[in-house]
Amino acid sequence: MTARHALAPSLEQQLAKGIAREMSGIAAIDAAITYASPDYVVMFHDAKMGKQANVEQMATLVRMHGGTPDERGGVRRALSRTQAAVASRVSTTLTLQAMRLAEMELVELYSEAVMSADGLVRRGLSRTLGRALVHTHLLTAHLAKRTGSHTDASLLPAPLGDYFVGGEARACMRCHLDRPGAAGPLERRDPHPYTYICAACHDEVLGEFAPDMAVQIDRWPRAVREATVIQHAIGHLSKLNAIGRALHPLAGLEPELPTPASERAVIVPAMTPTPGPARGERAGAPAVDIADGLEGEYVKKLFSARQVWRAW
Amino acid sequence: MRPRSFSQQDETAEAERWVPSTCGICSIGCGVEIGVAGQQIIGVRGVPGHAVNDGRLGPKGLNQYYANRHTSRARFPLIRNRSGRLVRASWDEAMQLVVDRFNEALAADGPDAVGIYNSGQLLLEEYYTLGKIARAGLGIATIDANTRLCTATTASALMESFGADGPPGAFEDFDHAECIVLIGHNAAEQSTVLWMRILAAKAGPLRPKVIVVDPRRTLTVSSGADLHLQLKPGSNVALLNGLCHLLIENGTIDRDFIARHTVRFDQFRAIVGRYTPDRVEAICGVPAAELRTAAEWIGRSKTTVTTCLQGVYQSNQAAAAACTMNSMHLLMGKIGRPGCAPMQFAGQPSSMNTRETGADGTYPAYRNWEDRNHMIDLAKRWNVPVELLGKKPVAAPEIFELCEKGYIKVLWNICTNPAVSMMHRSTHLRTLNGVFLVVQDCFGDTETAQLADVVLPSAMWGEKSGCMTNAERRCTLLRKAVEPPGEARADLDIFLDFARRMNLRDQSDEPLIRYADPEGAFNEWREISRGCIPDYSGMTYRKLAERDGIQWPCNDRHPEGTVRLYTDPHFPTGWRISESYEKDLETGHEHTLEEYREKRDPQGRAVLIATDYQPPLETTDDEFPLIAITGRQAYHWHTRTKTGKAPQLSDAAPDVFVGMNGADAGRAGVVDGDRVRIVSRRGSAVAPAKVGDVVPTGVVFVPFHYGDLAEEHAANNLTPPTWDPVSKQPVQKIAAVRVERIETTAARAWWQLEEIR
Repeated sequence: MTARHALAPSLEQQLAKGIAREMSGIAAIDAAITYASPDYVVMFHDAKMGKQANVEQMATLVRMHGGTPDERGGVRRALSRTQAAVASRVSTTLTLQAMRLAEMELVELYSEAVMSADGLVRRGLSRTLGRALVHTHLLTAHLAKRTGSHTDASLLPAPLGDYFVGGEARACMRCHLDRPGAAGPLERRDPHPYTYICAACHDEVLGEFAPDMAVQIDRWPRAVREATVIQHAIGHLSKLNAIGRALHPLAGLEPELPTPASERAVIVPAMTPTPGPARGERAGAPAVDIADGLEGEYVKKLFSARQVWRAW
Repeated sequence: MRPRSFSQQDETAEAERWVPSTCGICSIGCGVEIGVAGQQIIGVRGVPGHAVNDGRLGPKGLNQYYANRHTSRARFPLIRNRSGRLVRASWDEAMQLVVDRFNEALAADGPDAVGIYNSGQLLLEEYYTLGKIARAGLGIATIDANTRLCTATTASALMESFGADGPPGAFEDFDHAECIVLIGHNAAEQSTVLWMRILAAKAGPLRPKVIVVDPRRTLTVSSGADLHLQLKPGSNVALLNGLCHLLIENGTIDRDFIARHTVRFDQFRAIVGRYTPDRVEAICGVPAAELRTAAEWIGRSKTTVTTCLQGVYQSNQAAAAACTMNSMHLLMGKIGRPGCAPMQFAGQPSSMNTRETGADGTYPAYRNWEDRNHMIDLAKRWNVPVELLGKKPVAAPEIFELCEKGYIKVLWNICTNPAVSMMHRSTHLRTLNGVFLVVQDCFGDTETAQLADVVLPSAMWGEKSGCMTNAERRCTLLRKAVEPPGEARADLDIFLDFARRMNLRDQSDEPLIRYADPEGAFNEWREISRGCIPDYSGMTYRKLAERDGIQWPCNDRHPEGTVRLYTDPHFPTGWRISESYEKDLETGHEHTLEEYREKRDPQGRAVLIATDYQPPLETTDDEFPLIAITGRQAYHWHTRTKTGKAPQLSDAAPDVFVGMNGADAGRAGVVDGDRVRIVSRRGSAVAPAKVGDVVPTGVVFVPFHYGDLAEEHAANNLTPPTWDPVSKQPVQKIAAVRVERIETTAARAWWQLEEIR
């Protein structure tokens, strides 16, 4: 392992705390997910993925600096799971409130940690902070919509109508909000698994098709087009795009998209590959057992390429 | 029947010893012996009496050893230097660079910043270790294998119909079948030994009828088919719906089986009922009379085996078509008994292991990532926190998209060559050039290795020990015959080194990977799979060495393994065991546990699945009026990294071509041997036209094996960025194209020459 200096004790403590709290949050989500409606199940799954990413990032930072991450979560994990299990049986709103409280603690923790870090550690913690901020605002928006709380709505950097276009708090399976858009939302019910893609995501996904496919979209029957949009919308790339392009601004952050690989591509000096058999390599002598009948005829043909090509 | 005897060896050398092994080419898993003189492989021979091949081998299997000693073998680690050249490095330098890049990407951006793309050609122990490193060590979901391009649909179809992956039948079922249906499976070129077995069966007492469903008049059709249903590309679902409709109409279904062991017959009947022979003819181009004949043969036979391969899996509505094939067998109750099997096939020699162990992004031993109890059980066995498991898999096409868009910064590419094999190739070449690319391969000059930042040289077939499981669930032990060249290491050793350098640990602060050799890995895998569907707990290296492999499940109850599944017939569809909660075949979206448990759970019965036909997303028009099918040839395997190095195979199929129908060629003014450019919406390829009647009008065929970076001849320059919603398998058999004649050459095309061997 490359020699690196150890983390400052205070930073190491903050990372340990962050890992423990994220683990508790995941435990809570695992408990809550059982009782959630299908759209919230997807939202919780994605939230869990974000938390897992934060844990992995912090664990890597600890490992890189010679430490051993403690990913057990301690007593807090069991407590969170129990609380979430109870809350989710009572109401989704209660679950969301508990989640937001935990998330706000994480925002505070990461904000402090970012301030005391530099270099790669700072970059990594900024990313964990970003995820926590996005999640906090997502939860706040849902709570504002569900409870009608003006206080919650006032915490959002944009009007509530930018988060939810309809009368109820629905969770699109791409962005987890219900944002307005031109193409209209997509919804599928029984016998299909319940599926909901908001109007804004519908628009955004249509814009994500590669040019060679985009020119064909209008030729697809409506049902095919809609199913294809849903397929893309629930894909991993499209969800990450939604976070960077849509949820970041709705959490008061700058839009964030990485640099495409092609822009980082460098000209690779040509190699001299050695295709084909090695020089001087001689074909061995196959001994092939020719059976009677169709099998034998086929084997004869198979081991005589000339005959195979003649049949083409 | 007398055993067969196929062998090949250098004329100038005599084998000093013959080492038992398994063929490393396709998914049949033929028993072979490797001939060794000194430290070199000098020949291969089939094992007479072996349960799989009885001594037979195909041209690719017989010629595979030339690759082992080829000059292009990667012998030393390479690192790209500041002037952009790959230069020799020590293992320590190379591995440390890989570990540093992984750590930096994980620390800065999280698990989505790294990806692992592996193979269908490694060994079980290697896949298991890699999957464990990815899931329990790095915590990433972005791991998949090239089996995504090959038989991902197999897994999906088996999950959707029966609750879990795992082919139900065995190769011996072909010997007991009265009717054999090959759908999109060109067995005579891709499963040559199986095809010999089928042809031998045709000479036996049952004289099975062979039905081939394929848009092309392939070697399979010409060498043994009794009926060829030459359908239009992408119309498998309509054809299968039509067959099911006729089975019901003819009364050749097993109503008792349907009632007792399946669900949703009414919905199924309502959908397939719309596919009358006339409608099927209109969609597929298959004459109604031929469809009726096929349905008669399938329905009236006492025993039927059906296979699907790339003509289904890489085509339109892949999972839907494969599920309908399963349904066809369920309708007739033809499953779980001799001669009756829906054989969803595998492509590569160990693609089954990729799926079983989780190297394809699933969790080991067919555990359901959404089922918390499955994850708790796995977390206990691995001694890691359950909270870090249960991540939704991210499939290879998505991984490459993430690379393309810049999310993934470091890609570890293991024993596969996506620079040739991946669809939408021109985009992916730029992508591979733009990520930090680690290539672990036994060849140092594959098209992908040429783009690498680090090359890790690995051992190949014959140079390491471990297991492979074939398409009938048969696990065999392969033994090391010779040392790898130079400083090349077994893939397992590279993974162990990586895990150690990354300091991956479990909850007790012990190393996450504690074993140090293949047998240790296998023994841990036995425990991980114990009690699961692919149960290996009853196998040991010793037991495997004494037999022609063992078919799982193998445990205390079945110490000698299990020939076929679902003999009871009870299916693993209940919510507590099912590998999937049933996906929407049109979107890929999955039911939640609650939805499945409350509304869909078949509780041990199989699911009859039918879907309406939908046309392909890739459409023809005046500019691109033809459909290009990409595919394989008898003499090459994948991107020729192995087979291109064998003199006989290289001579037999030296270069790419465009297969055209005479009528289309005539319209384009093309004659046999003319150089043509085939152009799609995303790229082009130049090749001589091979004119004949193998492909029907409106269709062209391009083999996908060729893709030199300096040439414009790769079939995947043409293929679209689309994939099946359920299996995420790319649609590589449908690209809208036009063909432009470039020139008539005086020189004869290579297939016109006499000296082709």
